[in-house]
Amino acid sequence: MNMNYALLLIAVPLAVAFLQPLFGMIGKKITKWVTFLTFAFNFAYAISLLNFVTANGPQIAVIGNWRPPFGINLYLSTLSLFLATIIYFVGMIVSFYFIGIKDKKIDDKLSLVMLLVVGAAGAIVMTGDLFNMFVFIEILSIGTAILIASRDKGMSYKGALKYMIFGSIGSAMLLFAIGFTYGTLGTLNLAEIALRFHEINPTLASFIVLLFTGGVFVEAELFPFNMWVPDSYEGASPHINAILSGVVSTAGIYAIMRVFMTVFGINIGDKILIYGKLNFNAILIAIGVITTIIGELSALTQKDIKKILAFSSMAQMGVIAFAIGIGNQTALTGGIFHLFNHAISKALLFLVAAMIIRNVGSSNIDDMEGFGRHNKFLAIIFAIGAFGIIGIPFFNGFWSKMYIIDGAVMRSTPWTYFALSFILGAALVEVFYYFRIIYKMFNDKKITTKNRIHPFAYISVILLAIVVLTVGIYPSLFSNILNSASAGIFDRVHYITTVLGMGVLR
Amino acid sequence: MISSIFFYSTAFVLFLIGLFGVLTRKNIIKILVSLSITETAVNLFLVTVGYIKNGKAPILTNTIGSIGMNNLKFVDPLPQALVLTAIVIGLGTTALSLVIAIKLYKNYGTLNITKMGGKR
Repeated sequence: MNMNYALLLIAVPLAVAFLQPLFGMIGKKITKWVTFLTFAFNFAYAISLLNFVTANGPQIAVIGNWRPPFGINLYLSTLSLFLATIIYFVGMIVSFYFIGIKDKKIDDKLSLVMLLVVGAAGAIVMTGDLFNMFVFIEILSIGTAILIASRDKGMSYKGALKYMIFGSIGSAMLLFAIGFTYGTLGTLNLAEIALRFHEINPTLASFIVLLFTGGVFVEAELFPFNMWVPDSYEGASPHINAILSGVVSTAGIYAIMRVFMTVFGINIGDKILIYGKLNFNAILIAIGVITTIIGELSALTQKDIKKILAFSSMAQMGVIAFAIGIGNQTALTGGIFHLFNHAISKALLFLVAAMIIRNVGSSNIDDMEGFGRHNKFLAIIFAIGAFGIIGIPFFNGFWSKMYIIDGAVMRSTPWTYFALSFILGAALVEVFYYFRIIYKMFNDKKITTKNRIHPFAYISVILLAIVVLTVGIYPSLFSNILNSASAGIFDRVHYITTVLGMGVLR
Repeated sequence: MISSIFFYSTAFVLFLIGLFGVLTRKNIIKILVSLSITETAVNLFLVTVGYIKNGKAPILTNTIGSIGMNNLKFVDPLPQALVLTAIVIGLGTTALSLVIAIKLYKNYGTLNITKMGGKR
């Protein structure tokens, strides 16, 4: 199998994106179908590559026949392709949902930007080059700002501007980090940085890691850089929010996992510690706990369903950051699993919320009272997604949270138990506010609804709900892939030798 | 010849000026100008990383060939390539932010971020 064809996963969405205006001349409807078919192609191809990689070990795609330390390479591991599959799957479902929406004047342009965002997110999880990662993060953040602004309300422009400001400061910090790395090591290849990062003076190394947080924490919705979350999610259309939380934050968390663990980390015993003067693992745990607490408590006080889901999304990212900070393989497996569950369940919740909002004409949960009596089916689907996020036993979130708890207990220091207690406490808050929404929906109250729901919208949420239920009942479905994915992060030596060849270790 | 420590400190100071502007200004245009200043700071920093004292432009010409490879000092071309990319990205970001600023002005009738509450 020639791995260079994997480049198509990045090239096809970008190429189709800029052909969209031409398709738009033929008909606006066609552009939506083209978007959907592109994502479907990417999804199918990513799955076939994922099968190949899980069976034969990680591969690299060398671009332009320049050997890796000098040229650019794609690193196709189980983790990269698993996350790419999730990203394309969410993109596919949302674009399918998007076909059913009628009342938009800007369909072709929105399809264009959707292709850019999902294509760039897919590229972030596959690239093996630090500067490439920066460029794709920039494409991602510019595209995301356009998506947020596309609702054409004052609120959405406010959200988009806030996101742009955070994104710009973050990318400036990221470029500083790249400059320091290049200045000290003379390379931008992730594998070569991983090989030689411990040669850097520990103080400078910690400084680089801190600068790096600025760039990726914005996308990953983690604590000091997540003030854009409530405004942007409230301003954007709900189906765009499905992309924001399913695609953008997935790419952000991948960048943290890959760069902080594989590249900046060192293996000590059964865990990976981030190299440097500062104990960055402890900082990451603290950031995770703070993000989770802020997210859950803010969600509790909100009435707007989009804001509730946004804060909940932020909280889940905190849980994953906590798992990364723990640093052993069980917790990492849980983190990757939780990333998958979060992407699927949150896409489901946002799409159902989008349908409910279009039906009821308001995003306030008080106005949704009695909706479950009116449309039982949608309310039940919403409940499935909510149970998945909360982690009710026999739903998908339960298993991933169990993995994370297991990993935290294995670390067994007083500090991790202390942090874990906060994470579990925050999960209780989560139960409360999700059940409040579900309870409100099934309240006995007559409501009037406006729009009929397009069958495509139903199909897209049913597909997501099936995934949630299947993973919940049969969690060992992915255990093979998950173990191989976390091993891919954990086995740093394997990463380095796959990219640079066996000769570098001597 | 100014030593590169001067450029490093200038880049740092410029970054802090930009950050200060973003954090304290209320006018959107001023915030965007501050963002541009931070971008400039980063670009200056990147160019300085690749700079070598008395280095030549990294282009192989006949005159350079006659000096002999051992006496050559090229500045590192890679950071310059990075800066070119960063400048283009910065242009895109600034253009998009300005468009959003125009739209905000049309929606709220003001560019002051503290006066944009209320109307949804």
